[in-house]
Amino acid sequence: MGVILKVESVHKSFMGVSALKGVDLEVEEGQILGIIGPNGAGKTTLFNVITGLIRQDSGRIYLNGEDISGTPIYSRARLGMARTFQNLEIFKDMSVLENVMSGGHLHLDSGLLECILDSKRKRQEEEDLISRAMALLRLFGIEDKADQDAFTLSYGEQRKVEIARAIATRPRVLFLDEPASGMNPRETEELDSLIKRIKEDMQLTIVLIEHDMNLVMDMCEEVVVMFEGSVLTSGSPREVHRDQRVIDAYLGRDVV
Amino acid sequence: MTPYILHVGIIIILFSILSLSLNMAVGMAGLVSLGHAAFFGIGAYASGLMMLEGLPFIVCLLLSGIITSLFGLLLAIPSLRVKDDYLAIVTLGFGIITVIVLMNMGITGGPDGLTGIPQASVFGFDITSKPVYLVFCVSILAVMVLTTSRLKASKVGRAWAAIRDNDTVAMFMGINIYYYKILCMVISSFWAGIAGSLYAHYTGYINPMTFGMQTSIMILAMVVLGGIGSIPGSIIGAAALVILPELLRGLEANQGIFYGALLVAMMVLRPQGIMGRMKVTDIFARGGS
Repeated sequence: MGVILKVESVHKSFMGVSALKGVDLEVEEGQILGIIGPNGAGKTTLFNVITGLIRQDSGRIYLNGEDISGTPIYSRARLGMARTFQNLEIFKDMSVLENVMSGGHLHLDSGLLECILDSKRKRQEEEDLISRAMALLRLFGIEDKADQDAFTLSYGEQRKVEIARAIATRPRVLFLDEPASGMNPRETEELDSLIKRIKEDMQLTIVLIEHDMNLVMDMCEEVVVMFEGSVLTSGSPREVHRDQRVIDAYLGRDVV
Repeated sequence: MTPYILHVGIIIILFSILSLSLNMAVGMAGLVSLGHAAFFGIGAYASGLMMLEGLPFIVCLLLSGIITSLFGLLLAIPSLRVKDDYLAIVTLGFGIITVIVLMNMGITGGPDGLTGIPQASVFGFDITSKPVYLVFCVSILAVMVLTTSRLKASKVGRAWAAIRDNDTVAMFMGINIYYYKILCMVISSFWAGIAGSLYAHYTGYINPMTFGMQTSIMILAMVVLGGIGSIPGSIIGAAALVILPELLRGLEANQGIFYGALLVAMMVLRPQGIMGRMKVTDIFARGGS
């Protein structure tokens, strides 16, 4: 098990305001890493830089040893990155099934001509994709909603669609931005065991931002605490939980 | 069937090809175009000029589609930097420029246009009689409907739908949005060029004014009326907007008022069009998103 993701002194500022001030991060393969920190600490900005949504001012990002600092989003997806968004970003005009199927785009090999000619391979690939997508929906317990318009689902269910869609891209590293937000305690508990199970089944590495401390404590093997655009500390959930600097950061006292 | 009905039939088919080709861009991939008639014109002129040089009709037909799709490609590359309202402005400009160029170039006959375009024959068979030409146009539309519906039901259609919905998120699915946007523009303009060629050989005479703003808006109205993203809707929309003015002919001076009023009523009562699922506002005026 080596380092699958490495972030090296990433800086990013927005119109003069520093959002990231030299962030370094290493993620071990197979790990569930939690990123926590008060609002405005730069957690989502860091996610956006790592997944390619925004370009860092300086610093480098390596996925599995490969420098992806300037790689476009869709190529990063091909290399094995997938993410969900803090503000749900499902495809509203598509059914639940189509949403998850769109995540399988990467793994369809038939070309334009085969699509036009409706070749045997294309039809086979579509069938396989549908059954894979249905299997994912079953796993998330929303297979009975497959044909519904995605936007008609409840907030918690839409989150599940988004996660299922991300998993359909068959990532090596999955980034979850507040997966439990908008979920009730029962749903959160479900999500907790589901994510752990998916991680084992698919040998995923998971990086997640979360405010639900119970979820973080229970799920993550390592926690990174961000504060004002830098990494404040990192360690096991237990260590971080007791760290006085972390408590200060959250409660707003001066950091020593 | 009277020649008049056959004539209306042929015009409906030509506009069906145009509205379906525009719907591919607007409805399937969310690429708003206000200059679609320019592609129609490029196809018509390309085909007319080649035919006047003595090339056989079927070659002209295919080549005019390919040449037009090259223009689609040329427009697509810089346009990829913008979207939504800005893309609409770029295509609007493209439409206006195309008419001005056609109007001022020597080879295109300037404002007088091209006359005496030889009529169509396929492998020695004369297809100029109206019934035969109608069948010929219908079969081309059938090929288009078949290929378009297959594309729509494939990963290409899903990629377009994802782009239409949210092109940033589409990228996270590993969809190369630039490739799929260009592909859409190329295929869409190909079919518009084919419609242009069919039109040029049908009328035997073309001039720049046919391919201006008014026609672009007309095709867009067909798409919106029929249903954004809907294949049968594209044909129904085209048929409705070709037949309607014919039916209103008796009203003479008041024709325009009724035509406009009917369109307004339609959009108020059924904003998603006759066959569509999406409202106009899902594609247009998304402002700021």
